[in-house]
Amino acid sequence: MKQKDKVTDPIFEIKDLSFWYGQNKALDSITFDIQKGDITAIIGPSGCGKSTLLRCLNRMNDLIEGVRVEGDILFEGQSIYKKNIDLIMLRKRVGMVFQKSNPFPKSIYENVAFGPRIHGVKNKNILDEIVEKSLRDAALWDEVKDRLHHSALKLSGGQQQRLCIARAIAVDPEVILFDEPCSALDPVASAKIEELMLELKGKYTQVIVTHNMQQASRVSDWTAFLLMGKMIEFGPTEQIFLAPRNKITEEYVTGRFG
Amino acid sequence: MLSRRREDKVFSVLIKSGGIATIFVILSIFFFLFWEVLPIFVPARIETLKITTVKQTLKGEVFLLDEYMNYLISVGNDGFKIVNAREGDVVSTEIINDLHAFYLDPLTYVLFLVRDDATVDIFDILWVEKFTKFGKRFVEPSIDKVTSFKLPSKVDLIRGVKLPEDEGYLFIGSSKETLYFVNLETEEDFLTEEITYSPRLSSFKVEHNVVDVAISRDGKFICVISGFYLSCFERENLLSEKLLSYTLSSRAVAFDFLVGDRALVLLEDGKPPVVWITAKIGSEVRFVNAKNFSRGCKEYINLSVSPINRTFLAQCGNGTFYAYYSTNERLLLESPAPVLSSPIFITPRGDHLFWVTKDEIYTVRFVNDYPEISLKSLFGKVWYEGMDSPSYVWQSTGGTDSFEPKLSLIPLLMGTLKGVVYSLIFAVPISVLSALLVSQFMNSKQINLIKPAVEFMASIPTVILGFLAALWLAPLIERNLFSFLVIFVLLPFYILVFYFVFTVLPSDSKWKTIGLAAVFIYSLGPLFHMTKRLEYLWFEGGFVEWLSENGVYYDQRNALIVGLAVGFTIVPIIFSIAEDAFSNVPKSILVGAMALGASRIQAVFKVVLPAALPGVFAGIILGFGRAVGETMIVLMATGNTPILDFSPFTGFRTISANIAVELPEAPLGSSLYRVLFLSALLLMVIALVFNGVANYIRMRLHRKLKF
Repeated sequence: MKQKDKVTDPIFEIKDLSFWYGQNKALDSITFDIQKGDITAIIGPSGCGKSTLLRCLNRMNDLIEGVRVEGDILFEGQSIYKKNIDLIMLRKRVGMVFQKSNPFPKSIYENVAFGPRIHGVKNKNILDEIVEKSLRDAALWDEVKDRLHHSALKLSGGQQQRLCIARAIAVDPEVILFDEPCSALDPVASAKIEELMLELKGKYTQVIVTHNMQQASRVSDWTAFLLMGKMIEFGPTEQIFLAPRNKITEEYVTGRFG
Repeated sequence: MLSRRREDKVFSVLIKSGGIATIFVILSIFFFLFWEVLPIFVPARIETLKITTVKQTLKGEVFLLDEYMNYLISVGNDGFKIVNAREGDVVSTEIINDLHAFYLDPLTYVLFLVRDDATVDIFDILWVEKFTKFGKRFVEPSIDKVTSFKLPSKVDLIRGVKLPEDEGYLFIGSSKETLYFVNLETEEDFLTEEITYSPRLSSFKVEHNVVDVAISRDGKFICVISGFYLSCFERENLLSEKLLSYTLSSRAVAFDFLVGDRALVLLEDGKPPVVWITAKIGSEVRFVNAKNFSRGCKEYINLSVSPINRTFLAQCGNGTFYAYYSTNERLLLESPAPVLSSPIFITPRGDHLFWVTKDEIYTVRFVNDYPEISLKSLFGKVWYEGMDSPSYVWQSTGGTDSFEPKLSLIPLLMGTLKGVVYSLIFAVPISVLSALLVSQFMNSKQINLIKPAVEFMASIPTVILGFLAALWLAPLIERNLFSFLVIFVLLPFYILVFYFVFTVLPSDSKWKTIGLAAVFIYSLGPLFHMTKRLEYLWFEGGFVEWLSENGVYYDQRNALIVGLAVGFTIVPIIFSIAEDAFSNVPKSILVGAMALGASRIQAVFKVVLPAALPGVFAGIILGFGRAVGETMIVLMATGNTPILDFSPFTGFRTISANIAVELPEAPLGSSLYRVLFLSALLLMVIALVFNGVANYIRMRLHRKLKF
């Protein structure tokens, strides 16, 4: 499939976004759009602000004390930084999978059912359906269908991460944010996650933060390259990796620093 | 290099020995407690037989030894003798040729003799106190004639007692169907101070031949067996109002009252001994058969009651004898009698048994120090003398020696439980919720303010809390009980109302919080006055009085007060363990829940709280263990009444307070002393088990949450 050069149907529009942790400026005037249904990768060396940027998309940074935001992010044309925004609704629509798998110390079933439950689903049959569908979507169903009521903590690292994806899928989001989802996994488990992301493409808009450039080039359609809180380059993945316009990007993707 | 290695070695030895010493100390405490408790598990036994050969033939039938076992009094059909029980010499002899019948009461030391002409002589057996040249005390018997009187006709069977406090003597003589009752009241001539006795005789006819008679030694009850019928009466209503009527199924060999005069033992061939105790049935006193004993003889030959406690001996014709304890129905001892057919007697101190043949005195040591302790009396329901039903009672000491000790640990255990439960009711919600608040919703600045405050709470000496609870809180709550209860129940809802107002008000400024808090605190005053007004309207001004009129007893120092005060001491314990458990739940879980759209409250209550629940539970158990051992506050802030109920308005007595109250007064080595040590051991085991369980749960939780 031929990549388009320009984002045509943005789900997120990031506009001149700056971000401070207390006195430290973590993000500096970042502007780019995220294409609906595609996979967008955010790459860059450690501490460049890529995770911070990702967390701005569902306002998870709000949980940290003393942070400050300037600029704006539009989600489906609506600002998510305006007053009285319904954070619960935002986070329901923008799911997240973390660097380190974080299943709740409950059963597999309860982990997946947690999201639907807090959003008001009470009917047992509907919950059962959601759990099965989510686990199937996360390619975990066959492995766990016989032990749905066993503790989620007994699963392997890769399985736990896929459970977290299933858990995110269960609330039927529009976007799933991946914060270095494979950094704690072995290559086989990582490959499975990547495979899964490609399967989920189209159904959900996916944004992935990764420091693994091969991974970014394998799964993503769009790539943003961040350095020291600044957006160096954004464009179709092929262009970033094969024909970067910026010299620093070229040096980074060819592994001259990192 | 060498010196460093030596240093390592020295320190490792020091550290190891420190650890071992700690374990050793704990084990020693256990061992010491157990050692003090151990004797109560050793069954009664007899040992060290001693034989004295008497230098004359004794024709006596009943015998009495003094408390030092120096002198033996022998009474028989030929008169009475005093024998030196150690040397065998006969000290004095009184030959009475026309002796028709005699009775020696072994507990009140009085001797009745009936002569052929129906004259009755009463002798007091006095123990004259003497000292050896080394200052050792001993007693010499002196048998003094008190008075004599004449009956209308000769009697074959006589019984009598000396009443306590020199009130005189009671005498009953009977022949066939005739019963003579003689009351000899003391009369003191106020000029010469000479004491005389005027016998007042009443005679009765009964339907059958009189077989045996027993008189309680306080003169209150008289029981008569005539034919096959046993009946008991109060002295004033002799033969009219029956307190007990029982039909014998076989030959009655002996019956007598036990020490304390509220229990009657009957030995009936082919049955275990039967004991009746007085009981309040309605407003009436009755004798009830409330005890069950095991074993017994086909054919009894003798009954001996202990002068010091409720032990009695039943002796069989086949040579076996049994020792029983009445209160707890315990069979203390089953033993073959060394000499057939000689009746066995108990010495005044109850620590030896003796029997006498024609020319020999046998004594054996009777080790029976803890007859009143058994599983049944410690943990079971016992029907005590004078009560209306079986019950759990702790009442270790009474005014007199003949008091029946009531050593049930149940009221103390339940009191302990009651104290703990009311403390937890107060402490658990406060400490768990504040731990949640501190660990999940506060920033580090606020935490640094709260934690030292809680630690300070733990460091307040409990004696101060007890003192405050007893002298300040208890009267305060008694005056304002209704307001206290209403506000206690309504406060959470009231807070919720304010929370609702808080969320509805649009502004975000901190003045909103401060203003609302001020309104909240200010509104408590009018709320209090409103409850006072309601109390005045509904309960005519006095809720406490209204309660007691409606049968709810209110103690000023009660479980509510203790719950508040002890709860105060365990809040820091539960708080710190629970806070630790909450903080140990990885933040990523909370964040994960919130990323799914859960609110902070939802994430905390639906994910963090369930995950940390075992840790919270461990904290509660640890608090439980601490509350179980709490002594000072319960000692000061309850009435220490060992009653058995769960009302929040009554006092109670805990095991720990009981030890503190009673151990200083328990005679060393006594039953009470041992039972107190047993309860201490119990307390220690409970505390240890609870600590162990709590630590196990915490360790498991730590392992589980590590991922």
